[in-house]
Amino acid sequence: MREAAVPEKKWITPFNVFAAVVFAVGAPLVYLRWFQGLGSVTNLNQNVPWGFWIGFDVMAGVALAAGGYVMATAVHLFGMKEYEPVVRPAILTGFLGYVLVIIGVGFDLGRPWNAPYMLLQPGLASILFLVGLHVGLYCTTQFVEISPAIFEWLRWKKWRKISVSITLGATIFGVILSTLHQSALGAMLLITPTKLHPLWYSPFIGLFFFVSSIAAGLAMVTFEGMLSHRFLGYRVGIDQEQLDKITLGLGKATAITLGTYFAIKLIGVAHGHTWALLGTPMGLWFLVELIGFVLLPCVLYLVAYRERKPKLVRFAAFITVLGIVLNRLNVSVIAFNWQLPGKNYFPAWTEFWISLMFVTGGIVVYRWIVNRMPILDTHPDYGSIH
Amino acid sequence: METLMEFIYETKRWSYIVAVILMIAAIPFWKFLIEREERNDDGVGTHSPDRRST
Repeated sequence: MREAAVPEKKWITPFNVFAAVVFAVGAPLVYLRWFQGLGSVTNLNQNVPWGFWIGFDVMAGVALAAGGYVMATAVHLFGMKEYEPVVRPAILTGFLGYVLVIIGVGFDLGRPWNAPYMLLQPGLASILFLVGLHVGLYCTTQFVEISPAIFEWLRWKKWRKISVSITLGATIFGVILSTLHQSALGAMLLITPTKLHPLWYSPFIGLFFFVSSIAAGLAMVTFEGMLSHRFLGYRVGIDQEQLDKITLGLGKATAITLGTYFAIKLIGVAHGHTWALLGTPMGLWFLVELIGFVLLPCVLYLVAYRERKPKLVRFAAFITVLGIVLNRLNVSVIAFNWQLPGKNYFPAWTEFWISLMFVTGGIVVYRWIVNRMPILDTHPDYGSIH
Repeated sequence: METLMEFIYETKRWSYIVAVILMIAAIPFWKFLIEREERNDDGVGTHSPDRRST
């Protein structure tokens, strides 16, 4: 474990003040949502039932939480143990991300108390059923994957041994679930050929979602590694040089993934014969997404890896994260029902604020956990699980 | 009615052309990515089976 001075515990820090303001303003908004209904805090209506919460909290949230299965696969299944220091943070981020997705869906559903009927009367032919079931199962799987850290913290050796022994099985199960539901989130839109803009609609949309989720996961792990080192450096078990090596390796993987994603998106345009639409206003917006937030970060990753520039990898990761959020907002809000007369939706500030509250809550819980459990470092009594 | 051959050679012709161009473009992409890797040999971003975990 890296020796570093633990900072003096202070309650009044810039982040704590920020979080307190976010929660103080957000609490009455939550009350309004649950006691006055969706209309009191959102600009959603009968024509636009999907808004910022579905696009950001759910669609983008699931993609950005993909780091857990990507890193667990790399380390536990492919044996890339040099990336082991980032596995637990990635799985924890993924787990918290999925919990936030479930909470976000709860906020967005008109009658969330009817959600258990999904299991009582399963729509086995529905892709939405698959997504719902998998998100629940995968959340549980990620909890199992992160449980060795919890038992190490509690010093429950026997339970830790059991949980480590099922890590490999849980990882395999998690990969199967993730592959299916990451692509199924996109495949859900296959029933909307008349609603989703032809540039975003494609028979390959499930593949687009899956490949882009890998890039999103890798970018989030890179970005999160930087933030952890910057703000929780006293807990991080690796030094800057090792983090830079990992960052560059992740950069190489993301460059290849984004290159693949860019290629299959182009094939999607060719396959759909939608070249002519690229000159329209929506086409230009599509190009902004594809060139500005896929091709550009891909080139940045290429140069950064070749020239050994970890800072540039982190910058590219930031653009990639923004790009994934933009893509998910496009397919679920902006390019969805794009021809609908009278569609005039822009999220209310309260929608942004409640989403900000979710993200802030996730960061607070993440910080609470990593300050106690061996997530960013290894427990002196146990070390690596390999 | 469109035949299978028309579908392959006419309707989806551009898909194949774009796919071939992209596959060819992948060669310089890969070469550019790993060129310095072979020269530096610092182990960054490379993974060999001897470093596998058990």
